[in-house]
Amino acid sequence: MDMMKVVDILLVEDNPNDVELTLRALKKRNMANPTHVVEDGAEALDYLFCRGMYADRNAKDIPRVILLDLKLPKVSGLEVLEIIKSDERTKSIPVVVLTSSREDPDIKAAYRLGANSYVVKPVDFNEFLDRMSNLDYYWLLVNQPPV
Amino acid sequence: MNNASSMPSHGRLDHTILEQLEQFGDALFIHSFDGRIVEVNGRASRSLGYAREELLKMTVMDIEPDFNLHAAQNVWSSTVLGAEITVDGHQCTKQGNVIPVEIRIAPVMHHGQRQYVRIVHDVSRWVEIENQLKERNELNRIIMDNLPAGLAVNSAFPRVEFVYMNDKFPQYYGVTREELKDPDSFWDVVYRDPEFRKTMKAQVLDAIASGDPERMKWTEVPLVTEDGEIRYINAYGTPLPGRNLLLSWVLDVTEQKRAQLELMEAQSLLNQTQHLAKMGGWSYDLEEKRIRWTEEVYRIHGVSPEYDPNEMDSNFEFYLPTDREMLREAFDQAVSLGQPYDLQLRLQRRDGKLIWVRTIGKPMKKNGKILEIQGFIMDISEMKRMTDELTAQTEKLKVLHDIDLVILENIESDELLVTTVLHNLKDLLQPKLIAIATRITDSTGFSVHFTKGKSEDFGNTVVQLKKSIIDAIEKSGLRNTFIPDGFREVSLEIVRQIMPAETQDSVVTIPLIASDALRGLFILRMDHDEPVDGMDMELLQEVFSLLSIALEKIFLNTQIKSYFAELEQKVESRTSMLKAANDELEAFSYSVSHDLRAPLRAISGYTRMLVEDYGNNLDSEGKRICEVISQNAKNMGALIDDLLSFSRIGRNALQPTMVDMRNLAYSVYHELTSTDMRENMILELGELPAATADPTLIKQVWMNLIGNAIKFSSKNPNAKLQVGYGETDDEVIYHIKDNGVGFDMRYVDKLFGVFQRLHSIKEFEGTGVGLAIVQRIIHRHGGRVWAQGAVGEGATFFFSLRKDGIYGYDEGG
Repeated sequence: MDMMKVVDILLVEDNPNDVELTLRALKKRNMANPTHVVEDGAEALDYLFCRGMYADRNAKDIPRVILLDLKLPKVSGLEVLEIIKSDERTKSIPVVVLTSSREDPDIKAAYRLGANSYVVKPVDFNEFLDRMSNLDYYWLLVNQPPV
Repeated sequence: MNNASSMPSHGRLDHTILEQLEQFGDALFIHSFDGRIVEVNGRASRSLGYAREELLKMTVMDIEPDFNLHAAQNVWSSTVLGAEITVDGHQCTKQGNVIPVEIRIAPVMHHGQRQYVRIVHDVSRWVEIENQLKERNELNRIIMDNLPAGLAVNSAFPRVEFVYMNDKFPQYYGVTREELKDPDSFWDVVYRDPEFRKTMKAQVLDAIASGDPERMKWTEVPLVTEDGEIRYINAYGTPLPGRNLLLSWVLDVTEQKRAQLELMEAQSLLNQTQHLAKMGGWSYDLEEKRIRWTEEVYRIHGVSPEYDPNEMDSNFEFYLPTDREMLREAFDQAVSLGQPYDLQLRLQRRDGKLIWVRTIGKPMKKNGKILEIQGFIMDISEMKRMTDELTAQTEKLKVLHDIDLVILENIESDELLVTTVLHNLKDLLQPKLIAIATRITDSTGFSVHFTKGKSEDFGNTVVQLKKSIIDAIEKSGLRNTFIPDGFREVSLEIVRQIMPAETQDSVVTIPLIASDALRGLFILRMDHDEPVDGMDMELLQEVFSLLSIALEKIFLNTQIKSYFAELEQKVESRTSMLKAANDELEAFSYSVSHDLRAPLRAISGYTRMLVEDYGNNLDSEGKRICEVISQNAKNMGALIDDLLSFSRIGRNALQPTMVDMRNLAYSVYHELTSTDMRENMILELGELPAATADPTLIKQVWMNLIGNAIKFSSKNPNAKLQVGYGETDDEVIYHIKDNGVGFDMRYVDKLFGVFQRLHSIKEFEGTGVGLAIVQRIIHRHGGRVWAQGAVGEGATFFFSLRKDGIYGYDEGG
């Protein structure tokens, strides 16, 4: 993937299977939006703040939405969220939190930190596709946290 | 009148006669038969103020208003010529004054004419004297009648006949004048009591017979009036010389007698009062150097009334020497400077008894000169004793109160308690030694606090007592009690450590025992050999009781504290163990929810990809296998979800509110069914009482139960769900009944177990966790859950909730 490419979606996900399934789902729903995938929290921050391997990236090109898995190696999803939402440059980017469980206490924490929405990654793939297609309204339309 | 008869018989009197008439001392008028005045003498004209010529033109009627011509003419006819008559009359002067006169009238013949000679004598002076006499008599009467004495002149031999009596006389005897009129009834009327009458009559007559005025005196003679009232009179008799009469006079002395009686009563009352008040009065007359004491003063001094108080020095001798000087000085100053005094002194009575008196002296002045010292003396021993006692009692109560306070405030420190007690008792008892040994554990070690003699030092030490001694004291049954020289062995053991040099011959030891355990020892050694007095004893007993109770409290408190600390520690270790376990469980749950799902997602997702991308290369069996893989992955996802929610129920705290159960059941039913399903199903939903419960959890209960009912009756074309309730005193029991496949009551125990299923997955899908969740939620609410059913006849599930909304236990809270 071309690193200098302007992207609409930043997917932060360490599980390659989930990455593949997510990308496939997005594609299936004809969401042709350019997507960039990073594998952990540190890389996500580097990307967003044009640091490290992303130092040459144009900082003005900010993604339209961030899909953020909470369970990440190195810097956790919540930490990433906190930094994004407390930095002037990135705080306005909608963040959709991805989690494996509806019961996850981190969902609450994520809302507190400013997450705009969340999606439970279901076991059933079809269901997952449904969820992802619904998801796109959240960043394309006025974004409000679901109750 | 001879002169008149010698008058010449012509109209006018000749000169000689006129001259003679002028010599005449009285006024002389000659008038005619018809009353015309024909001649007067100088005196007549002078006395009436008319000139002679004026009078000769007037008639007798002009000057005498009483004159009656007709009567005068009759006189002439009836009287022998030359005879005279005398009448009283009046003459009017020219000035209008009326003069009383005495008129002598003599008819005369003069020159053949009937004439009258009127010799008029001015009697106005006589009249005046007579009036004066009358007035004087009236005055005398008034005086006599108004004298505060009864007066009478009477005989009494033995008839009593009154010549005179004034108004007061019968009044004082309590009788009327009328009653005294009969000379024979005097004695009966005056003296009503026959016996007394007899005595009095004899006495009085005897005295009168003697003629001696000195004997004729009777004082305070009691007379009983008609009303039964007693009056007193003094009666006196004075013989009137030369006549057989007495001047009797009586005085009413009732008031004096009564006053005297009252005075006597008052005096006796005063004496009694003084006696009761133990207060006497005295006075010292400076001029006469005379001292007067009331009865009580004698009594206070313990002397008989024969004692002569006039020796001031011997009076002072009664007082104790120092007090005597004080009194002497005060008395001297009262006499010389007029300073009053008020002293409380000790007086030794004649009988040797020492009393406290309050003596007050007050100089009485007249014209700036001190004439007399007046004063009171009171026996205040009793008062003083009571006051002293009260003061002592108050002091002691204060000590007790202080100790009480310490005990109330310090149930933790025996040291503070004991030192406070020592401080208080030291001031009160002034002992040689007080030591209090205490133990607030069950060991044999006693900590001893003590104070010695007059020093302000307080010390402490520790002693070990033999277990056998402690046992002996505990078994002795003696507690908080003074036993002279009791427990000597123990005392010696302790005192030896504190005062090694002393002999411990008279040390008292009091064991302080509470709940049969020796909590302390109180050791006292007094500086003097006198035993502790009753008051102090009482106080000490009280202190011992308080002390033992307080020590017991401290002991118990200490024990409780140690138990508590132990318990605290246990709770803490258990809690941390639980916490560790819980944390592990948390981690496990997290792992389950995330880590188990990821591979499932992969299995499901990739299978899907396989079917989508390579489905054309698969035969129908290959596709079926892919379907089975997907289905199983999905089932496992559901299992994981249920397990997580099951474990979550125990972890979160309940948040109970009022829940409308009917509404909830109704909405859950609609949530779980589609319109199509509802067309083939009947819901009978009756009234349901509201419940106090966690709304999220109780909704889960309805979800699971209604879900089950729908699921297990789905094969019945006439499926019917009935939701209702029943109640006991303290519970509401909700139930849901279906007409589905039911269950075998033999397996009812397995219904609510985790992963327990009575039907195959093929028959009815499910994880076997739903009812376990229901049970867990209901149990957390303090309720019960149970079921009834039969194969093919449907099932009924019951759950109860407490009406008071109080939960039996709360795992998560």
